[in-house]
Amino acid sequence: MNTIVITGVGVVSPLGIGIDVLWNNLLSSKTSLQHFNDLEAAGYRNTSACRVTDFEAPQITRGACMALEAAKQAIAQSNIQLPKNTGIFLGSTLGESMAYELAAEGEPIDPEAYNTFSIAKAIADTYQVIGPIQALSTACTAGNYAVGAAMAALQRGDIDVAIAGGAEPFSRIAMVGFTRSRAMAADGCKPFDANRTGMVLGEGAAIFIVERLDDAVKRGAMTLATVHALGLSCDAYHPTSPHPDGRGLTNAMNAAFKKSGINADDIDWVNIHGSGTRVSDAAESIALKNVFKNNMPLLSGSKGAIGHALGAASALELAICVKGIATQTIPPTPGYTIQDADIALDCTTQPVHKKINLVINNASAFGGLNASLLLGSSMY
Amino acid sequence: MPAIIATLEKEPGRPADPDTTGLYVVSNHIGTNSSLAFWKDVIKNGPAFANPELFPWTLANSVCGAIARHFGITGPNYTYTCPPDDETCINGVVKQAGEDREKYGLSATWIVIVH
Repeated sequence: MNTIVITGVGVVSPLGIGIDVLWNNLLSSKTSLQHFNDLEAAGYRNTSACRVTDFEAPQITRGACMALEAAKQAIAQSNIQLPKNTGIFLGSTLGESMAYELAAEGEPIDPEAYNTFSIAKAIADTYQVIGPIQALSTACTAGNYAVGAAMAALQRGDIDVAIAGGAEPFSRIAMVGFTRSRAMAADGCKPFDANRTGMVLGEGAAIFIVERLDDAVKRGAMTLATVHALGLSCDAYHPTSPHPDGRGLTNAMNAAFKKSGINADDIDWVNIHGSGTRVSDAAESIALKNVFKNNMPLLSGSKGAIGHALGAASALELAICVKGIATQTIPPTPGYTIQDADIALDCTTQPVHKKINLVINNASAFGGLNASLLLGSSMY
Repeated sequence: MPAIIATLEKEPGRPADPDTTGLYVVSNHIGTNSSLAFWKDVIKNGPAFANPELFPWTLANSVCGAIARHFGITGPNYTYTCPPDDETCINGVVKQAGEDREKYGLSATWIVIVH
């Protein structure tokens, strides 16, 4: 079986453009949460969000523009000449949400020309590659799905290089929808914290260059991380709530272990989904206890700093995992201060420098989706 | 949604082992009508009073989730957005399903194309 590696990372996030800016701000426990006057003026009940305020793009193609910026960074870091058969694997929840909003407002727009596929196609067109395009509309798990699909295509030999990741522009549909679903936080996202009240909406993009290890070594590329396996499952329980016994994420993490042959006891760090909602965090904590029992790895989460970027969320957090592996550092968990008695698990509150060989990146989504991506150091 | 469920009830019918069944939905338009309807409701009633029941159906993976709930399918659950009749996309889905069958030990894989 071919070993699959990441050789480039690009990021557009509310906490900075470029992985190094995001990483340094995250290590300082900064948060990008802000009040927005435009949301207040429009009558939104919730007027705080994590938006990328230093990135200009046409609103109707903001998702594609963010993905292209992230792809540019990833390609530069990887220092790769993309072959013609490069595949594009892109995850998003809504695609260009603004197109749907404008169409509903009466603008003569075909919103389906702006769905998730359009963002993937924009990358393919920009780099004039003609490999397969997969647009994965798997909501808040989409980034993990996309990298897993890229891994599969590389292992099959369908392609030689993949551009993979997730993108999600700020969505007014999601802002209203999650607020009306009572999922939004009153005072910031606090993953696994006793006083957590919900999620905060974010936006952004993270894109990776993924290739076979042999090819990367042959061209002298620096490998940043190894992609070991993607584990997937579905709760099949409720449209918006996870199964309370945590079976979904339990099954997803166990699937990743089974596919990779790696044991749970060998995991050093879990980047939790940690959306900050009462039920989602509680279910994830049960899943973590089911899987790791008395050998709990260190836990961290970043949605308190960058918000929940929906289809880009797991990609952005995967970028954090890759940087953590590269620097052998687990970041703090902004928003987490007080252990919840029911969860009874701690998250990092400071950067932790330790040997990191293996990390799990967890993600869950409306519809009952669960995706756990298992990454390793390039030496493991 | 009821029409999709009814079609699947007829063929292939209830999965023998829903825990080892994978689900792969391919469409270019799932969520579009709900997104438009939801945003029209927001325009009409204001963001503070929009109907929250529409929101989960704005997501492209809502149909895949609903099929999974109806049949109790807990295996891998994919939603692909791709243009109608995009053979490369469909081929990729078929390959992924075949690989998942082997790697997850799936007993069945359902590929559902929604036009």
